[in-house]
Amino acid sequence: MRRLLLLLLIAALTLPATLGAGARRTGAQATEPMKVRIPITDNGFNDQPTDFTVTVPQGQLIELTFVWEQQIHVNDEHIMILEGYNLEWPQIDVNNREASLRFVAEKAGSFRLKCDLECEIHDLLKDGKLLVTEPGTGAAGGPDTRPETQLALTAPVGASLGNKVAFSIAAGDTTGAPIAGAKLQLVEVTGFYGLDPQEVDVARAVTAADGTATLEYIARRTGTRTLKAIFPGDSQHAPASLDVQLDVGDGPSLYVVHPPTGIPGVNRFFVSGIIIAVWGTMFIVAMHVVGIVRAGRTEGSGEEDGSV
Amino acid sequence: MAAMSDYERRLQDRVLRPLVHPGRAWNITFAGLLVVFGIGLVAYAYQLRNGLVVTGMRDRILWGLYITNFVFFIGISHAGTLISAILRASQAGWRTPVTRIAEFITVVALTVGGLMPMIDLGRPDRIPHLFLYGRWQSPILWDLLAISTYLVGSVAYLYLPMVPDLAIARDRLGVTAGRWKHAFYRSAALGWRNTPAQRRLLHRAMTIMMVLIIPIAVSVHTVVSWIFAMTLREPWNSTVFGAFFVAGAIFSGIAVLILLMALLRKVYHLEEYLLEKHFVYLGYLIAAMAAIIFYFNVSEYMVTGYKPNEAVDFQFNQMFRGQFAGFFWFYLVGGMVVPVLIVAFKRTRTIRGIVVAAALVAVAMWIERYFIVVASLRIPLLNYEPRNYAPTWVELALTAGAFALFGLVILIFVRFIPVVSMWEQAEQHAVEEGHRASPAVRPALPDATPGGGA
Repeated sequence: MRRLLLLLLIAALTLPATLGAGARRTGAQATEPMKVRIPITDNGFNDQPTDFTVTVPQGQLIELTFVWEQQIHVNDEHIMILEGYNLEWPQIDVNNREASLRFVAEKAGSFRLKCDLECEIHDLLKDGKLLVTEPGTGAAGGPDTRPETQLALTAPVGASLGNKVAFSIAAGDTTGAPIAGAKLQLVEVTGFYGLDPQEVDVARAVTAADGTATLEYIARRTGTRTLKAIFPGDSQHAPASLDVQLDVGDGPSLYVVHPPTGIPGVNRFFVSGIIIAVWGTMFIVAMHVVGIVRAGRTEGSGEEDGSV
Repeated sequence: MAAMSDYERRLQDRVLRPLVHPGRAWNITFAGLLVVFGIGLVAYAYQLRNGLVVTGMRDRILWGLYITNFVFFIGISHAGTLISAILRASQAGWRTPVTRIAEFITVVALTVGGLMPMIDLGRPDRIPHLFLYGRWQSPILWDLLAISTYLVGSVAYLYLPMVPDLAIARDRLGVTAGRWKHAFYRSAALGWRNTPAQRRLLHRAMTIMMVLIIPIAVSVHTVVSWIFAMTLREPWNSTVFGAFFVAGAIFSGIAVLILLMALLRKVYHLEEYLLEKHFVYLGYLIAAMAAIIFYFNVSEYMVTGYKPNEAVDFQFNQMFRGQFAGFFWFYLVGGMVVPVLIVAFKRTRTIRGIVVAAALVAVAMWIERYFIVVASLRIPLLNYEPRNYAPTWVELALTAGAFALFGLVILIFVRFIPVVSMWEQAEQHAVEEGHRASPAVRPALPDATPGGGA
């Protein structure tokens, strides 16, 4: 009986603890981390030499894993760090190919991801970014509550074929204040041989302190060209775009027929001379063949086929 | 008229025999090649009907097997005329049994190679556009001009030394060769009677063609290389592409020449004329060309690899360790190192060894043409995923058909034309024997009975 009471007491003491543990596990499953795997190749982060950015919403639990996948610099070793969060991943190399850290993206903003060692591809591994977006930027799937961005564009109405056209684009917020450092993009919406129109990247620029940037476009086809100025948005400002039409008229041919530097005397007449000389020589050979036939007739006697 | 020596009679009997009695092997091979060629024709009809979409070529990799074959065939065409002309010009006495076969290869390879861009064009009805709208600035037009000039020159260069032999065939074989064939020999022999005037004219014409054909041959493969080198593609941006292509052409040409020599030697029992020394000398040429090509490769890859950009990096990756690595290393090791080793060691420097080396070189050089074309076009010009090229059955069938056509025309040639230059061989033999019984150009004219009189 005493033994039974003792067992009941133990059960009473351990059951809440067990249930609590179960509850905690359930809670942890509910906040499953966002898993991000970043291959490190010979071309840098995820085979991208530039502009590598991982975007996560603020407050997100992240499991960031770097995976060593180099094929040329096989002796490279990396220790990745995340500035601003003071995180350092364990070393990865050919033997230890993966390193993971789990953390909560508490601070919003852009934070640099880089290799802390002087590796062979250090230049490619020093400018990765972790972009932690504030709630309301739409990055996390919710509504985009960032303030609108206004784009204004100044450009000539028309251009001639081959002209370089400068588009001055100003980015500002709803109050009219300029947005400095905004990354702008100019694309041409164009089709090719009957394919659906696609956006072709034409130029990129970053706005100056006054919120303007100049992007250049070379008119390579005649007719009405459709271009689009794009601001993809940042943590503070919503994306925006602006369509513009440009009439491109005829101009001088873009194809340069004459070389910029010519060698005097080397021209089509010179080439023709060589060709005539070669074929003329072969004509002389043909005349020799005729001569052989004639010589056979004059000097020969009787049938050629032996007539034996 | 000088009496024919035993050597000459034996030589003529041996060389003329296949013109009358080609043998069962000839018939079987001809039939087999005809079937393969027929399959190629069916594939071409299918391509004509459906367009180039039935091939593996698309907008990003827009050249494939056809252009590979084109460069390969134009390359091996250097076997003949160029090698023959160089050997003649340098008065290499051992050349005599080799030159005719070499000159065959030139004419046939040029013909087959010339068809390839037309097949690649997809719309043969547009071929006249080259003449109607061709522009002086275009390497395509230069190519057309160079290849057509080379073809005409090569035909002349094949034909001229053949005239005395055709006269021998006319006189020795008579009507036993068949009525049509006899008529062919009669007209093609140009009434050759071995008169002093004819000998003088023939000698002069051959000398002119010998001098003329060397720069033409060099220009042809240089211009073929310019089709690539004058296009903005990273691996083609080379100033030595012309020299590289000419060297590669001679290299592959010698290899195919050795293979054909070995085949004809075996089938037509020409062991007395195509000696081991001929294979060994050509083997030495192969080794020398392998060294030159190897040097070009090292120079090219060292220089571009020392200052790589993104495209070079991509190219090196796909060549050295990526998709084309197997091809590339075979080309370098199988196509250059191994043949040199085979020639270097006395134990392997045999006819069989040199034939193996030549086969390796021929395959390696075809592969080299393939990756020059396909791997280079695979490098993305814009920010898009690199696409792959895989030839379809149509391209494979047409490639097989092209090689079959090459074999067929060679077979037709050997049925009509003596494969060894009899008069030159006899003359050379006379020189080697140390007596001057023969005049400068001395085909042994008929003192024999029709039908060969062997």
